[in-house]
Amino acid sequence: MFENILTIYQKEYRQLKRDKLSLTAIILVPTMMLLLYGYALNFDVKHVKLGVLDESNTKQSRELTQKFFSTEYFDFAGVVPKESAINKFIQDGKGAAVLVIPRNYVKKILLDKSENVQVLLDGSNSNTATIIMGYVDGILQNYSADLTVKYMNQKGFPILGGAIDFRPRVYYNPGLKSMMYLVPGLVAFILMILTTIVPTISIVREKERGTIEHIMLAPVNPFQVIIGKALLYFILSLGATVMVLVTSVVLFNVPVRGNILLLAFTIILFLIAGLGIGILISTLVSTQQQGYLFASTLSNLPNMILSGFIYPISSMPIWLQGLTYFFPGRFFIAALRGILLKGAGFTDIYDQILPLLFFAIAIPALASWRLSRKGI
Amino acid sequence: MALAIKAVNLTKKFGSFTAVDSISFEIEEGRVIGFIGANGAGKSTTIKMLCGLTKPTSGEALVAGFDVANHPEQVRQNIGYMSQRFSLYGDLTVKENIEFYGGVYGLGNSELRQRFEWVVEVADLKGRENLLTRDLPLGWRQRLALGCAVLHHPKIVFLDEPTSGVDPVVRDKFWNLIGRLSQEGATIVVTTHHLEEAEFCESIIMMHLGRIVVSGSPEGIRKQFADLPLFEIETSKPVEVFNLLESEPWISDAAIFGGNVHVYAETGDPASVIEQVLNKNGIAKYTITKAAPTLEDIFINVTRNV
Repeated sequence: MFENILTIYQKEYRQLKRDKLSLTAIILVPTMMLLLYGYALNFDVKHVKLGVLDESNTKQSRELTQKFFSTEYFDFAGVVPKESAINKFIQDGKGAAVLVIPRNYVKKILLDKSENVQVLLDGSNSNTATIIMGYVDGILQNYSADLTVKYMNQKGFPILGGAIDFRPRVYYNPGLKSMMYLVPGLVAFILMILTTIVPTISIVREKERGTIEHIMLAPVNPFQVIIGKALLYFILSLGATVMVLVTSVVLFNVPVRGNILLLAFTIILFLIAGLGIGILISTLVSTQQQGYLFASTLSNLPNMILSGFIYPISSMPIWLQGLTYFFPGRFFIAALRGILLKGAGFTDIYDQILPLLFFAIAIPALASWRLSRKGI
Repeated sequence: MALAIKAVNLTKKFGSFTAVDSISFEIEEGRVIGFIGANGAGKSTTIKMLCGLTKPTSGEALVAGFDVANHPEQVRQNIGYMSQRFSLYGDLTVKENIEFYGGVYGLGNSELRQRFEWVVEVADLKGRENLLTRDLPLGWRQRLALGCAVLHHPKIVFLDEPTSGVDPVVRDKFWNLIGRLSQEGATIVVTTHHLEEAEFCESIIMMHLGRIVVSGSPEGIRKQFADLPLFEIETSKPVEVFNLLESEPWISDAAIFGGNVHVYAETGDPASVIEQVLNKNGIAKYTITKAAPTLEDIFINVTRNV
């Protein structure tokens, strides 16, 4: 029984050892994906190129402009000479936004008239535009409040600041860096691809070449064959996971605040579920192309879209939210964010771990059922 | 003598297509049996049913005394199988392939060592143990595959198109190995579409469109069909003779063999009818003799009208 599994494992290992390209891909591609996605997939909007059309050209207007460029959110993109040049400035991509300060800016302030500063921005990326608007609003509000205080003091009403002193404090990810939020999702995404596609290809290849028939005629049962193969890919996936996590910690400063054992347990559950999906697919298809298509679709889509990796589940339509419960990704990502970022313990995230445990049992069970009925 | 295999009304359907159509046969222990037929005749499907690789749609088969549908495990313990799609892993070495199959067949260390030597010897692979299998010539690979299929001393060995794609010299070497296994007491079941290979078998079963059309020993079958109206015309102008006879409606088959013309003549007193035609067309020197049918002639004859 155990010897059979070991025989299959050893054979698989020897084949893979000789297939340097695949071996390298399995070990390095996950880390490379992390690096690529990690640097490219960044939702932080910083260093927005801002052009300035300062018709007022006064001490006050320069003070306002300075407010923008003293943050890391805006970079000076150049002076826009006149109003008719704004369109071309944005169209040519010289800047994503233009700050317009009218000629009578100072007069308007002094006359207590507001609505005197304009920002025109490029809305072709609505997400970025919304964020820029938020920044502009914040900077102007602040500056406006400062002015009010100064003005009131000058007029002899000694007040110290705005009525409400807003001081947000962000837990777990104080810098609000999107990487903190994305890395757990990336880990899930990468691991799911690894655990579904690689074993599917390995099993289906033997079907295509006809070698599986010969194994099935030996006194080995399909489970031993599958476990022998899965064992190797489990070990490799675990290795790849460690590399991905270490890279996340070292390069992206993702913290590991929770218990390492709980982290390992969660990852192992997810790997088993993923391998189960791969094995299940391999019992359904007969060519490597089908297997690849099936496995990549089933690992990519749910883990990209239905897992909360990028798009918050809470803002999906209800029926789509319901669909997310059918994939282990959403639970794994929630658990991983909990453990890594919040230092959550088992009691904090048992509602994520238990479904994962369910998947880790149910999917391999389903695959076994298919195997016992149909063979490999 | 005890039966190694017994099949009764064995049938396999794939949807509306009947691959094997209610065939029955018996194979005695220790024999070398050939399933002969064109591609798609149902040979491979029959073998797969006997091995337990596909379930029969209906009918039953006993292999080594066990029902293939109900006791596939026991059947497996008694058989070895090698298919046209080779069982070997091209990316493993000769040694690793043997070790792998030894492993899945549960051979102990000392037995594996002994069988390893045996396979290397019979497959002529001494000194090539560490070569990757995919780098070996086809003939070596076939013998290695057969060696791997019989590592566990099976009572019955199934070989599905084992010699496809090799030249006659390599094929003869392969048949020597089959003969060796047979001498050691194994029952051998081979499928092939090379009729020459039928001569190596003690008994053959000819299949066509899922049915058995003829069976028996090669000698017995030839005797059974000795009366086929087959004639050999010895002539110095074989091409002219061939052209003359081929268009005659009562000649259902004509072929040139070396300097001779073979015809299959379906008419009363064929020899004199042939003579008339040749004389009328000014062919003077020829001799007509009744030819003994080859297995190929017989196979063409029995499949022609099906």
